[in-house]
Amino acid sequence: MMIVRKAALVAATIVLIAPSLARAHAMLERAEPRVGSTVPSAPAQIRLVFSQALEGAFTMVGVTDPAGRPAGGKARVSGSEIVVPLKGGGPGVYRVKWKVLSKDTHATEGNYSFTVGP
Amino acid sequence: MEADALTWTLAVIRGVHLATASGAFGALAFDSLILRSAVKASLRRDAISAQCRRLALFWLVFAVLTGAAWLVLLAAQIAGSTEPVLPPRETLLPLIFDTRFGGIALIRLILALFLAVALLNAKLQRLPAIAFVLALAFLVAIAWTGHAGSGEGEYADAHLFADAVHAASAAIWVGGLLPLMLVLLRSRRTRDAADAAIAPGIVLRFSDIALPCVVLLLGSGLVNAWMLVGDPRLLLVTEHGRALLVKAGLFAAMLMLAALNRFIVAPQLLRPRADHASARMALARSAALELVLGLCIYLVVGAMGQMHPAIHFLEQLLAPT
Repeated sequence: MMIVRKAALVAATIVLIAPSLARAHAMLERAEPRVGSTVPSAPAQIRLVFSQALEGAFTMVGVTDPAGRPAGGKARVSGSEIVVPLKGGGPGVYRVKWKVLSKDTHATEGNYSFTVGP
Repeated sequence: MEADALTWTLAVIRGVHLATASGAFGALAFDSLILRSAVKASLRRDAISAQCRRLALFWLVFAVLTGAAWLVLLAAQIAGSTEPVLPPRETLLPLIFDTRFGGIALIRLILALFLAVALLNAKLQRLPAIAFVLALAFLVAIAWTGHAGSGEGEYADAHLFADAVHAASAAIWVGGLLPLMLVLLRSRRTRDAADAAIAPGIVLRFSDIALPCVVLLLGSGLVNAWMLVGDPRLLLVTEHGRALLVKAGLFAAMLMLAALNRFIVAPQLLRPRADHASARMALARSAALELVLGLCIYLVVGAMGQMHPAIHFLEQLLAPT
């Protein structure tokens, strides 16, 4: 039938030229302390700002101190920002691992580090 | 980057859900905005109204089922699955009760239940505005779960409004095509000249309503493109941009068909010596092709909902090389 043939042609066009899908995600736009930066002393908290509003129920941020011990408290989500209080730790490299879900239901994860000390 | 089976399944489910939710509202919009203006109160008009309500109920059932599938598959995706499988309870329950998506899904389920009652209850059927408003709310509430709903900043509300207008105007046009086809084919089935006689008025009224819908679609589409793409160069270098070009191409094809119908085929219904039966068939076939193109658009939109908006790559595009 003509309509079916035309529909198949349209569908094939879409399949051929349509791009492969990528998972959409909230991107980490900035962090405080900045990603890869060196700060003179351990901050009282870290702040992560994303490109989209987040769902608190599916937000996880883990911070480890230079000794590999957990150094972060409970993450607070407000819009597109996450604030995590830090428990004291010495100088060295702090690693942050995050996993978030944006309000439009796309999950992303990532990690970065910052250094405390001279 | 190749997407996994779950992402593709979600894209299709989202597209089908959008299409069926639009079909439900479109059938009721056809009844309220087109049929009741073009045809005087009569048993014939009541019969076609009842057909529109049955269509709306049919699409509503599929919209609820695909909506539930969307929720379940989304939970599976959040839990880290790459295949369409059932999710763990510890992901599904927080998704339903602790997220905006879940809250909107529950509200839409309640709207769907009320809509079903409005479509089935004889007393409420005499107040078609109730079902119309419920179906509209059921459809446009989806906007709060998409990219527009998660945006922040001074233009976030404008984006959300544009998204809702886009969904509603598309549904009135595309969702009205199947009821229009059924009206055009009605006289073939009933062999009643009176059924043939109402076709020209309905076709002209459909065109009168479709034109402002096209204008609203273009306007709200441009707003959405500005919010989600930002720079025309991103249309070619991002997946989201290329998908938008596919959508625009399908939309252009629908517009050309609609213009052909309005200015060449439909006028034949009004010429006394023209072959009206052939003209009705030609219009019905053309409406069917428009509907297929419209369904393809909904599938593309479902896929776009899984993609990273092009504007998130704007910084990369503008970065000095």
